[in-house]
Amino acid sequence: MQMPRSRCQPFHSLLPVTLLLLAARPVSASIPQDDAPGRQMAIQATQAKPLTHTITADHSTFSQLQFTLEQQKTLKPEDVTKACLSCHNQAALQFHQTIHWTWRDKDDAGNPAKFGKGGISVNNF
Amino acid sequence: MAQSVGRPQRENCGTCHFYGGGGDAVKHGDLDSSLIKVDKNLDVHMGSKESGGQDFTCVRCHTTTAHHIAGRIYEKPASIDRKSLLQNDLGDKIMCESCHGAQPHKAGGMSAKLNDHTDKVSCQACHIPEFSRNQPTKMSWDWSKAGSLMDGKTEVKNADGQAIFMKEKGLFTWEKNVVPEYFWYNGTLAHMTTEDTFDPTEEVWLNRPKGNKDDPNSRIMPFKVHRAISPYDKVNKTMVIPHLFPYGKDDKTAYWKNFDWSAAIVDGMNYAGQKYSGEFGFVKTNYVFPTTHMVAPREQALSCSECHSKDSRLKNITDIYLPGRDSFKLVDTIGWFAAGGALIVIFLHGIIRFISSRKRKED
Repeated sequence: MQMPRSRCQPFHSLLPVTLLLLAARPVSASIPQDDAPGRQMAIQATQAKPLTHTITADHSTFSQLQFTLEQQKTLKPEDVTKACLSCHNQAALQFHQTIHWTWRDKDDAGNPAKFGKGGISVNNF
Repeated sequence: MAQSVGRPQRENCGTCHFYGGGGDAVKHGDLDSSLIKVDKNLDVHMGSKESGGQDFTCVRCHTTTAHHIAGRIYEKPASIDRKSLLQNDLGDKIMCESCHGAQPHKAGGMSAKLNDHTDKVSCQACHIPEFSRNQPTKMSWDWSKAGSLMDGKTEVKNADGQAIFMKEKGLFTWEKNVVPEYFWYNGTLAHMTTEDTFDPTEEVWLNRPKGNKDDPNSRIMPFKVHRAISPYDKVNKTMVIPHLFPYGKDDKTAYWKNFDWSAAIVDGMNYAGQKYSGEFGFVKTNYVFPTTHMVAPREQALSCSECHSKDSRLKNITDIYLPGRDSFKLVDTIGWFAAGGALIVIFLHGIIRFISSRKRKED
């Protein structure tokens, strides 16, 4: 058992030394190790399924995404969005449900609440 | 542009999120443009492979379901469960525990002691020793100084080229390598709205971490606290929403065009459908940001004594007994008397034995 410390006792200066000794142990013991359970799990999580393997389409070959030089002169970002949505026909509807669109927190029923940047919240920056 | 269809990169999210609050590194403290091309030293997860990092994109942790991106913090936590993805492959992978589990340190020895901490101390608390380690973040903002000039100038910059005064915005301070403030946190923040009243003689917390020591989902978490002097409604004792950014050339109320707080507040509150008495003043306000990015290499994790000492980082955490920081004088005194007493008794006992053994020899 560790001795309780006190401000008014002459031995209190020994306690930091004890703490230091205790604190020094794990540092030297744990740094070179890669066998911490959490570390192994994280390695497993990041290496198990490389995300590139899940992509099954090369978008650069899609005709909807080919624009002539003439078209590009007047092309607006919204036109590209339209081209995306012509195939991804649920994306806009999904996006309309998110905070990135409503700028509102959701209430328990999932509807936009009063609170949020688009609502009556306040910040100081 | 259509040639680059793919998963979003850090630049994509960062175009907005690294520049929140009106400029690079202003808002969060743990998110700024230095995370686009980043070294492992600043962020082990996003750091480049060459520097030994993992080169994670934002969506590696901010997983999505039907365009809903995990990790937004309002009244609900980013994730309800502190589960590892091995337990729940379809859950939001937004917690440290999602990948690292609840026993992230090596088993046995002092590491076991660190694993004992994970039920009360967030990973971030020890593994992000300081935030804004590459460029300074804005730490304070005095809106009451806006509208006038400083030394006859509309803008004054510091040695790093960051504005410390702007006529539109007021007076600022910036800090680098900032030690966070720590609070109990269950993953949600309590927010003030323009409908909530407060005592203007005290600092007003516009948002506050929710959580407490007895809640199994709460942890001690690091935060950036941004302190400001903000306009408020003097009569109703509520915060106000001023109309800042002009609609166009003919805008007669926008503060950043006309520099008239009164007109800007009337218009802003009207737009938001909120009550305004017509009388404004300035009040001290605080706004907290959870510090969760810029996780440092493990060698830089905090040592025990950063918290377990008289000069503890956990000054805000006052509702627990923290060994090394806290002491009860009575218990300490009894302890030292007991220990000292034991020493004296041992000494006396030794003398008696010494004397009696000599006596035995004499006999």
